[in-house]
Amino acid sequence: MQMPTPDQDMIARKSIIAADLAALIGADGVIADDGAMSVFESDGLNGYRATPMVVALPATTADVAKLMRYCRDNDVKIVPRGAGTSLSGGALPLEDGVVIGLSRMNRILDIDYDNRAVVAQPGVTNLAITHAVEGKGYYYAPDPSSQIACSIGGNVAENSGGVHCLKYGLTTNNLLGIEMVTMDGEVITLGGKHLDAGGYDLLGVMTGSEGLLGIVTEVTVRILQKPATRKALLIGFDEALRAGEAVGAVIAKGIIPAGMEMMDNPAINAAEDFVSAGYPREADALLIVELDGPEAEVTALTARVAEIVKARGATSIRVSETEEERELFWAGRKSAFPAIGRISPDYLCMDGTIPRRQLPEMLSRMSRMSQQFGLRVANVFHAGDGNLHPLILFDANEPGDLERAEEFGAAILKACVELGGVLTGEHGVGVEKRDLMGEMFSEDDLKQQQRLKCAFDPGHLLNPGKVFPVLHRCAELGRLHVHHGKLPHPDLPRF
Amino acid sequence: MRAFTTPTLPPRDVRDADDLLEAIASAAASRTRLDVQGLGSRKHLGRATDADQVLSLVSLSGITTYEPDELVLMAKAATPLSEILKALDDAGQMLAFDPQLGAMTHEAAQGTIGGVMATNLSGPRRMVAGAARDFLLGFNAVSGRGEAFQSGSRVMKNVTGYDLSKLMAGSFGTLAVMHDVTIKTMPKPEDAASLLVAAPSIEQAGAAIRAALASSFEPTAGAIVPPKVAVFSDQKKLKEAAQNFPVAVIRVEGFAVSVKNRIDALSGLLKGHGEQMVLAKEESDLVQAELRENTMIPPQNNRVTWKISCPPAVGAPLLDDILKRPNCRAYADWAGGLIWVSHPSGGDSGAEALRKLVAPHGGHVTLINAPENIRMALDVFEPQPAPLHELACRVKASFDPLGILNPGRMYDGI
Repeated sequence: MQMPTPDQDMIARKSIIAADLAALIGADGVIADDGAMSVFESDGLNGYRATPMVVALPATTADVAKLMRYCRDNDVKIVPRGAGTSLSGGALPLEDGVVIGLSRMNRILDIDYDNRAVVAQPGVTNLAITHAVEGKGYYYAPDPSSQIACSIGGNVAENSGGVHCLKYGLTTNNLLGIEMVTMDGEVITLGGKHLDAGGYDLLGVMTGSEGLLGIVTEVTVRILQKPATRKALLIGFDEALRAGEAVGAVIAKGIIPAGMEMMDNPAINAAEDFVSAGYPREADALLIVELDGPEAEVTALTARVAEIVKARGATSIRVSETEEERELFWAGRKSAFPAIGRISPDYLCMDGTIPRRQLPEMLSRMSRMSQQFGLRVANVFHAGDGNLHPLILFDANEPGDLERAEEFGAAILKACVELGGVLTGEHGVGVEKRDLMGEMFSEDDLKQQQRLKCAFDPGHLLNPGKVFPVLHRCAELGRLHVHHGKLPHPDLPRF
Repeated sequence: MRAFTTPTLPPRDVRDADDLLEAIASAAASRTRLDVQGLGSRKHLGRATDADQVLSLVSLSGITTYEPDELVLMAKAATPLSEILKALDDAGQMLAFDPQLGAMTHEAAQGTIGGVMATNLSGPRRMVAGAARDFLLGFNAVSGRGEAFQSGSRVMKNVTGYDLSKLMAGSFGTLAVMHDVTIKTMPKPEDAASLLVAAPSIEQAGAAIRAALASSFEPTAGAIVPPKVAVFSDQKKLKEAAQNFPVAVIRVEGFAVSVKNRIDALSGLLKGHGEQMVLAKEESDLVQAELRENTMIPPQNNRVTWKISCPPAVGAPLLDDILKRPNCRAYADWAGGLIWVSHPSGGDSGAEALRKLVAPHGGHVTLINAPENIRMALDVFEPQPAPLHELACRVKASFDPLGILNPGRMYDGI
């Protein structure tokens, strides 16, 4: 993965820049020592590393505004960073850039039960929001698996999901407002505790923009009343195809479960070895269906779901009788990644989405590819919304294994697009899928997205090298009558 | 009052997506400003455009894909809303954001799916289900540059590239012209019921709704209807309940067993908040349709309709203040987060006063219905702070640098 060539003149100014930033936000908010900066070298995609030029840790919105203005005036690149849990390299530093880390802005500012909203600084963790309101029976719905560590600002940048998206939506559907700082250092408020802010929906555009458009300094989210009852069903199938059909049948009957997860045989066995959740080891596929809501509804729907999956050939059905049992059912699924980590020295976690009905086709393609690349694959899916997480097993110590695993991963994502799906369902493009963007978007599609970026950041200073495979100059993008079909500027940096 | 041109060129009726590309590319070449129209049912929303030519999309019609078990529907942008709703009804599904139909029934629904998305207006269920923008999964469009592009997809979990669907929703056709849209559909609830609580005051009606929302009984709509608005209702029970007191209308939806259970539980919870009445599905649906369609505050020559979006908890006190203004009729929806106001026209038709009332709480005031001369003279949308407006202008220019798509429909320059 090629990143923009670092500007050596910029790096030569490192100590001046560090001193300038310290003067702006205080010396305790600036790190320029290589050793101390090592924790910022990578994010959750830890195969990629770079030491940033300087790390700045603003404490206030005003600090962020000062940093942005300074960087704009001095042409310094910026990589925004939340908790550094991105799985796509969104916070991968640049050697000639400043990492702006929001970890010091970690206070919850307002808990407003009357308006069912929480206002938090971007460094607050996802789970901390739920913890702050659960005493009164509320919670924050999006629950990415990293929720204990990931920050709410990072969730906005990545439009994070979780296992309950089918019913409760992604970050974008649970976000009421943000305060952000533009590349010009302007502080802009979008939305608030009210709904549907007038004008263009820039709140919607900022969500999932991967740190390329601005820095979020305050977040307002809606909180929900916890459902009165939750029950989970553990459903085994001797053919994955039937499990896929069962998922469609449940939805076709008008039931939107809180969560609907699927695991294939290798994932079932790895998880069972790890936590002994009572998963059916012989099953070809396992569904976990969670229903939540008022007790009468959950009881009625549990029976309906059991009926539907039986008719689709389920070979085993267990319904959680207690809250402990429900949690045990989930424990296997939630530990699928570390469980796979035990049976393989290394693994790559992919994240594509397909139209759900293509699941059987996708599974058969994946098993063909597994043979072709000579690597094993285990699958966990957010089956309700077609979001796949194939885990490709490999050994980084075997020469060529990593490259083959990456090729296998790319082939899976290309297949997702071919089948009508997308490259990433919730992990983001970052650097990981950047060079695959052309599989899903035409040159004109990508240029239009980059023109939008130019409206926010004409100097390409915010997180350059992420998301877009080709960095077009804004002046060139703005020109009308661009010729179609061929790349007009062979001299442009491509990476 | 701003200057305004009416189209002088004959309307351009586009045949298909390729023809749309051709039409916009040639408009860009000749700097012809276009007034983009579907069936024209939402023409009264937003500001009047300064255009040289009407670009008519009516031929871009028809559902192209509908897979109920995948919760996805794809249609050409000018497909009539009634046609979409018919297909959804047949499959037991719905547009969960509850669009205004311009009618009480699905058969009579006005306008197109593209118009619904371009205006991003949502009905009573919006407070729990999300807005129109949350259901636009993807689209194909032609930008004001005369270039075809697409964004999003048919799957509901997708973070590949910027979420341009959000930007297109509510952009009133000022950025690009969508010719195909992909919509997320949802199963229709099996049953519904509304609990009417006649409270001694607006504030106490608001408190009843807050209590309902703080419970785990999952209301899917909450409105406050004062007597002077309820008197224009065609629903006997609502009229009766609101004869002397403001009424909180709290709706639950879902599977029949759940609806019964929750309405009973809510009724118990709200004992002491006021006299109660329960409306079964049919009556509940009709009351919700009246709330959605503003039929209790219909457009009149001497009145304008404002839509206020505010934090829900201030809805009741704001509503109280507004009702004290001479000749104002108003009711609240979205548990207080939405206030519909029918204000006498004349002067600024209440613009400054309403915006002053809302400003301290955060929110915005939008002119929804008014004669054209009034819409020309007022800020239809809430004025934006300068840095935000400048950013919005740059966003507009990134799609439509020549300003040929619906010029002026939202703001000066946008």
